[in-house]
Amino acid sequence: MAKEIWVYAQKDADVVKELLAKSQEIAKVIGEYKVCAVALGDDLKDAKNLGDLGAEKVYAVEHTSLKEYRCDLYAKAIEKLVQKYQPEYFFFGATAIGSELAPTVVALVKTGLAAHCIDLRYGKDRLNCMVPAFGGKVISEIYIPNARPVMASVRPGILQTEEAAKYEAELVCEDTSFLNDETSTEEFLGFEENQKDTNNIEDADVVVSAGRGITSDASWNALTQLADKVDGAIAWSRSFIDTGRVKDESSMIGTSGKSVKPKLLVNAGVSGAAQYVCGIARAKKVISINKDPKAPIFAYSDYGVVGDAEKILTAVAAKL
Amino acid sequence: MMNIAVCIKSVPDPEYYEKITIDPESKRLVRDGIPAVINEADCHAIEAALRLKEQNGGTITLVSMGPPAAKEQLLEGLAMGADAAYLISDRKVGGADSLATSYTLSKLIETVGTFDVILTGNESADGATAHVPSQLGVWLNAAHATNVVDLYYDNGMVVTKQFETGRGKYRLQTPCVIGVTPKANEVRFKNVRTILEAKNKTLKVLSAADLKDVDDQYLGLKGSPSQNGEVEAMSGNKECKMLQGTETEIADQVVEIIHQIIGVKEEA
Amino acid sequence: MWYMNEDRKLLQKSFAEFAQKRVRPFAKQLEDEEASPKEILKEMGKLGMFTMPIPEEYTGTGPDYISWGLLLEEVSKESATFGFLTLLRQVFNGPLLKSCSQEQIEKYVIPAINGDIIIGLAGNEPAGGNNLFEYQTKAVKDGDEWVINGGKVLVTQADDVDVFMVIALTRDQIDFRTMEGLDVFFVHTSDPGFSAGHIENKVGLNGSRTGSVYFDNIRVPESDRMPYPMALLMLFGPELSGYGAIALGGCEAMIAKTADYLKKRVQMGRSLWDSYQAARHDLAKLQLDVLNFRNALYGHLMNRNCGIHDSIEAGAVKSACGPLLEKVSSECMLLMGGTGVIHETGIEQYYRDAKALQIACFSDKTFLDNVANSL
Repeated sequence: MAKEIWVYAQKDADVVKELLAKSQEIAKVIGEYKVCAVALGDDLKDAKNLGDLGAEKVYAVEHTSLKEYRCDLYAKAIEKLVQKYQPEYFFFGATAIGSELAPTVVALVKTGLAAHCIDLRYGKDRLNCMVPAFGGKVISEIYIPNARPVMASVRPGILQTEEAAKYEAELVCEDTSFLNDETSTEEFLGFEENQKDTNNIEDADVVVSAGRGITSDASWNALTQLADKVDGAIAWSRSFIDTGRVKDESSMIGTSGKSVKPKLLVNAGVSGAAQYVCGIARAKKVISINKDPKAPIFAYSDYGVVGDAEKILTAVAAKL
Repeated sequence: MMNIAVCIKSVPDPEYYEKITIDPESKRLVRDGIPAVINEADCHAIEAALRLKEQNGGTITLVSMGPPAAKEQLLEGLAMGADAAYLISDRKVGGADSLATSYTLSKLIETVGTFDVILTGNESADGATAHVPSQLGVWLNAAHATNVVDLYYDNGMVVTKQFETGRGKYRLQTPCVIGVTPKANEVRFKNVRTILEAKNKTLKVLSAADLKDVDDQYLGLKGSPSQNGEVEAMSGNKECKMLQGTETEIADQVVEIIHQIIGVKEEA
Repeated sequence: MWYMNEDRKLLQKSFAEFAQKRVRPFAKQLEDEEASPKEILKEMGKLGMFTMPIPEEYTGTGPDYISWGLLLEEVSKESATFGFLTLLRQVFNGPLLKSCSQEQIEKYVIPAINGDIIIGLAGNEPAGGNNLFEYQTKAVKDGDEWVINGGKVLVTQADDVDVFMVIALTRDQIDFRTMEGLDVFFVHTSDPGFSAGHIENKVGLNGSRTGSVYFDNIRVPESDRMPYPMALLMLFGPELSGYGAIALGGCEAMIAKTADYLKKRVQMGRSLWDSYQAARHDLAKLQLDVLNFRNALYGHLMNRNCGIHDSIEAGAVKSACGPLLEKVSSECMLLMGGTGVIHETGIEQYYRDAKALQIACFSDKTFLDNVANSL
């Protein structure tokens, strides 16, 4: 068993940086573990740069057949790597690819996997993976007592870590000739990119979010006015989508939506259901307005206002 | 002609999540008295199967792993239009994590038939691991895809998978396992005739002994590499300062807080 | 419930799902804009929801009047008008199976049962709803066809059906003994001689589009004249107990809403439910009435399942349900305080619907002699 913590370095995924930083944190606690990135593709000449994100070592698995993502081939290649080096921990981002690749690798290797974790904590002599269940109402602790590697997929945008140390990474180029004879059960037919996301809530510094309480045109106008005054991105909860005013899930905050990490988040008419608050854990300062004094959102807010969202938003926008 | 299997799961009704509590001593979930429903994504998988059957002919068989009461959800699946249903209910397979669950389901599938396409809901409302489609694929040695938003048969199953930056299209060889998301279709309302026919269809409950070629080490708790530790309620950890005063006074306070946090906007 | 079984539980769940997902979002438009529900009614037909009381030889799944009652109940929890329009389908389809030729059954009734077309009844005239002998709409034979001229009033869905059953006189006078001279014809609303007129602004059952229709030299083939028109008129009676299910659904929805409101509304730290025994008891009394009525309704529907189709018993249910709906809606509005009388709350419309229900199909006031005659 190698004293290594591996991170699957999915191309262009911000979560890789978060995982490498978290892995360094864990490595400090358990002592003398190397943090390694695993990169797959057909052109890995920049793989060493993963050292800048926090990897001490990079395993590069390069082959022409890995140009387009195909789960079965990627999983086979990773399985071979795992059998060869036997890392103790292996983390994936819970992206669309990660959520599919990780369980496939796990089934090939016959180990355990904690999915969609919102935190990884070392304690009680084991790695505890914190996983939301029942729509986020409860957080379960999942651990892998015996099987190795311990695997986890982690929700992007949630981990809170220190800045990772940079390294001049040691590059290990794997022999991928076995892939010359491998066939895939998947034929790649094409990729259609999304329309450009002009309303990028995930990177916004200021987010103004609408919940179920924003029903009238007047309250919606007040909210958009406020967002304009503070240069904020407009986001919403699933309950707001259910009111029918908007349909776009790409601006939705929550367990099945996005996570935001703004300097300022203003929640208007948001109740604070478990599924929603999962997505605001990294917001620095939160102001929430709701007419129900018992709304759960206040427990996740720095400042609270019990009142009519339309009136408060209008008054605030006017004074800004 | 296409033989389709659909894996469904009986889950606590999400409408009643408020009523779930945590036992303060055992730190385990208490979910008594909450009615069960078919996991929502699984309904979309059944709908996808109905459409594939309409286009290609064939049969739809439901499979599920759960307590005996899950029969009710299987009956409902038959009322939606499936042709037969099998439930594996046995202490031996209980306490399973997703790896052991998908193993059990794979053995159930191999025991009851030979299938061209196996559909599942992409994830369940309670555990939401989304592992089963991929792991089922590995156990069955079949092609597999998750996060599928569109699917149809054309010399293999053509699936559209949702990624963060866009959608990728793949043709999978059959047999294949596909995790269907709610985005894939709109579930049809049940037809009165189909509802009344449900009771005449095959609905069997099997035990572990009925499964073919089973390797016990992969079943149940024994076959589950991951374990559940304690459960805690999700709770906020901020000290919230509730602002007081008239509407105008509150608005003033909010403006000041906003200025403190993001600075004052320069007027052009 | 004593009348439930596995099939009915599945059916009820499915009806409730349809009512919540289709009827509920539409109910506001129906109530406030009188938008046409025709497409939703056709969808219900295609899902087999009109087949429960219909025998299998006519593409039905029945006869099961209890499932039919469950459908009306679930739909009416969202909208009494919708329940009423659903009810009318069976009020017409059931009797039509007895009054029509086989050819007419295949051409009109089976498509209506399956949701391909919507059939309406154009019967009422200014002469008076029950005053058939003085009706003015006439059909005159011309070769193989009948030429219909005249008009009807207070016709439900006046401008919103595909085919009307039109009651017309084929003689100058109807024969008192044999009722010869009274006929019913199938008329297509697409016919250029058909027009719908003014839609009435009435109290309750908003969206049922009650209005006048006119027939100007409409030519109808002999094959579209019903061979047994009296069967049609006589058999409406037993179907009217469906009104009971409409009132029942409405009452259940209102009581649930009121109880929920009283339990959630907090004043001085206590819910109204906890603070006021009088309110709890008022609601409890309504619930007792509803429980008794439910047994009466389903008992009657069970009788129909056993082949007993008694007009008097059906009329007993019908004439009790309007006043019950009126009483429950009136009380619930008051129990909810100011909120109760506000339209958006969703209670006050049942109060208005209750009045319209007491007149719909036939007035509760004209029924009593029928009962007296049975004594």
